[in-house]
Amino acid sequence: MDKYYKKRLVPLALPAIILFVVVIAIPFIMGVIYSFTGWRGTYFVGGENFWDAFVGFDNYIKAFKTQKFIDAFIYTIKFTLVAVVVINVVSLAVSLLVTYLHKAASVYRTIYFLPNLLGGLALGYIWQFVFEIVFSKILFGEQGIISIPALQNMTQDNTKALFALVMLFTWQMVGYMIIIYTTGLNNISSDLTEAAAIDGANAWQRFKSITVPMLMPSFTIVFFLTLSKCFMLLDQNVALTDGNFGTRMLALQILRTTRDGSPPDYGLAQAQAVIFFVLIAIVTLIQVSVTSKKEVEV
Amino acid sequence: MKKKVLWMILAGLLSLGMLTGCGGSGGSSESKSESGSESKTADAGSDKDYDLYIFNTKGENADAMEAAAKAFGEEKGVTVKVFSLGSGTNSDDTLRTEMNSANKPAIFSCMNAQALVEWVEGGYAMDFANATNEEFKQLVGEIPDSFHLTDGNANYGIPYNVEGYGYIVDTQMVASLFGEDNVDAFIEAFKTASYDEFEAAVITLQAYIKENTAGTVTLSGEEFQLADEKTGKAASLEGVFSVAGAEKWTYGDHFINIAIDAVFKDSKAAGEATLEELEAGKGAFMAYAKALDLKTSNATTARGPELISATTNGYDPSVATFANSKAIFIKQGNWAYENIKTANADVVDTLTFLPIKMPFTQDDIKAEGQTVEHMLESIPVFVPNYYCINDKVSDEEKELAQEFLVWLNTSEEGQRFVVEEMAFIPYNADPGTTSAGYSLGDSIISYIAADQTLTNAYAGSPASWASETFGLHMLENYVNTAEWPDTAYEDIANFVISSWAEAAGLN
Repeated sequence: MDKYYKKRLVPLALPAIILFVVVIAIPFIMGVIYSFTGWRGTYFVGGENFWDAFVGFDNYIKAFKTQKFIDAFIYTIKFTLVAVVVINVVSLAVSLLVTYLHKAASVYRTIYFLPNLLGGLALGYIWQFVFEIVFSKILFGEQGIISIPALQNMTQDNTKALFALVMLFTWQMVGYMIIIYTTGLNNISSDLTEAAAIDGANAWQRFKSITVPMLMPSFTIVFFLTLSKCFMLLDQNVALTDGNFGTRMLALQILRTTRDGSPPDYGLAQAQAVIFFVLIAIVTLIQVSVTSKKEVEV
Repeated sequence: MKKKVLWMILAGLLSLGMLTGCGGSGGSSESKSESGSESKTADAGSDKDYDLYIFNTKGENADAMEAAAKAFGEEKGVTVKVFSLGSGTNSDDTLRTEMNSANKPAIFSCMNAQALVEWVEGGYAMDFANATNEEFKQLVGEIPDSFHLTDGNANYGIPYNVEGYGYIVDTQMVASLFGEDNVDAFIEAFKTASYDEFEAAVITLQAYIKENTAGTVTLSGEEFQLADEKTGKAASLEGVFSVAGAEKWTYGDHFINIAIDAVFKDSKAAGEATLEELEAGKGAFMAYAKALDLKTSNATTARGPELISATTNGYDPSVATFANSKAIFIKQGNWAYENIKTANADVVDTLTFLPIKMPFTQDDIKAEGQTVEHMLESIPVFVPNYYCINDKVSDEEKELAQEFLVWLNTSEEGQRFVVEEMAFIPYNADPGTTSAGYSLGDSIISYIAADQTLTNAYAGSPASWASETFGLHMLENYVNTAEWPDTAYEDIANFVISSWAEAAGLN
């Protein structure tokens, strides 16, 4: 089969390559060029073409000075820190449970995966209802079953909304990460664990010295996915709070930049988008190289 | 070798298929109107399949606009293409995409002077002084000054229609509260009532609703006795006002517009506001805060976090609350007619507008020629959207665009489409003879006829300041808080002044 594909490499790969170049690579390059100009969406300030409207690094300087951009940046970092830890811990715990159970493990995995199938917007609106009605009135409200102020009106406060977003995102992503972790766990040869048990290692020592190092490839993938997805979160942000109460994250900030001024400053928005790209690229490259070194080859 | 060629061809076709999908102009509800007779254009060299392209951003009249375009097309023997977006969708990005393409729309929509800036700067908005069609020039000359779309130098837009807003009240509700015979008297007395009478009336009504305390409401010196028992529609009342607390634009745009009207004559004056003028308006802004306090304290939902929750106090829930007779007043515009009808068709025929009252003194009013009496009995009537002609299309298309706008606004057939099918109130309607055909529209026409109108001066405030900066501040700090501090009115007024000045770069 390999030979078959190797001979037809070019024609088989061609559609994907063309699609990538036209839809991703070319607009990306155009965007980077426009970020150095005074682009307003339909025209260029100062000239007919983009090279007449060159403004150098002005857009970037303005982006870093915009208070909204800095706020969105900080909020996104806070959210990412919390969400990555929570998602990893929860999905690892659940996948350990699921593999331990053996029976009906695949049924559980399917059920946990279902939330992942919902689109971000639908999820955001459903959880908005949950936070505003179910949490705030029925369960934890003043007339609810138990009154917990910390869980009331979670979409109306900066910090509470962060945890609301974390809850939402964990619910969505855990299923996907469980599948990755369970595959990784199933690939750990039982010989190793048996040998360790014979040598007298207890459960915690076995976990620490065998499971964790062997799971490093899965850690790499899960970290990479959650880190980049948390940074790029948009749909759920819009649907849950629409950026009110200072909960605007980076992607939403870029989107709304064009509405914040008249005429719409697309050059500034594009500069923010390029900064966004560089940021995520740096973070994920570092993270991938660091965790790759810890992978153990058997 | 043959198989390799076959593969290359298949791969190429696949890519082409994907690219044509991406390459077409975007959009959801596209439609074209074909004309029966032969095409008249001399566009021999053009490969366009239409003669006139209209980009319509008001989604509510999409079908009617297509019908109107088709009728025009048949009359003139041209092909007209109309593109409409769903109502409520933000159309800016789609419009900009179309402007960047080879097939630019000849007629497009522009909301106000703030939105106009990018089209003038980019050279897309045609200056009507350069119009070539004689009837069009006449049409432009007849637009009243306050309905101009201008950047200070030239006129760029033909109004779509006029809209208005105020306190919508169901006269059947008034009948069950005060007796059927007193309805007309109540409505008239309300219009001329002072703010203090209004405030006392609201408090009396709220006490009546919540605690069943009987009482009388005094408006313009006349007394109206509340019915002893709550019968009929009054039985389901839960509050005096239905407030859409989650919608920033209701108190961030439209409610503060009244206060801005007290300070600035129209949106142009507001657009040129100086720091001194803003500070002089402090009294008016404090009056706004007091009126908002009154409104949100006497709503169907108590002021607090629940009032800004989108699920209970969003636009649709608040309209449904009013339509189901749970509130006496809702501050909305004639655009809400369809929503009210969907929620409860029984109430739509007996609706009318009442003016929004704020506690202005003559000192607070800085706009020239404005008086307290006039402000107390008027509702804002304004143009929500304008037709602009694209300067970058061919001359034939510009000519056709002008002909279409003339036809739509002056010919009998065109006006029939505007009034009946689009359910618009034409801006150039003669209030004496036009009937909008529905309760709220006729109410607005009666206010126009009596010259009891205000402008939408808030449109001159810095871009997105009204809802995104000011409205957001109110949402996050005041509408969601049950208790306001003693300095709340002053704080709000100061915030209006400082945030406007900052957004406009005045300090």
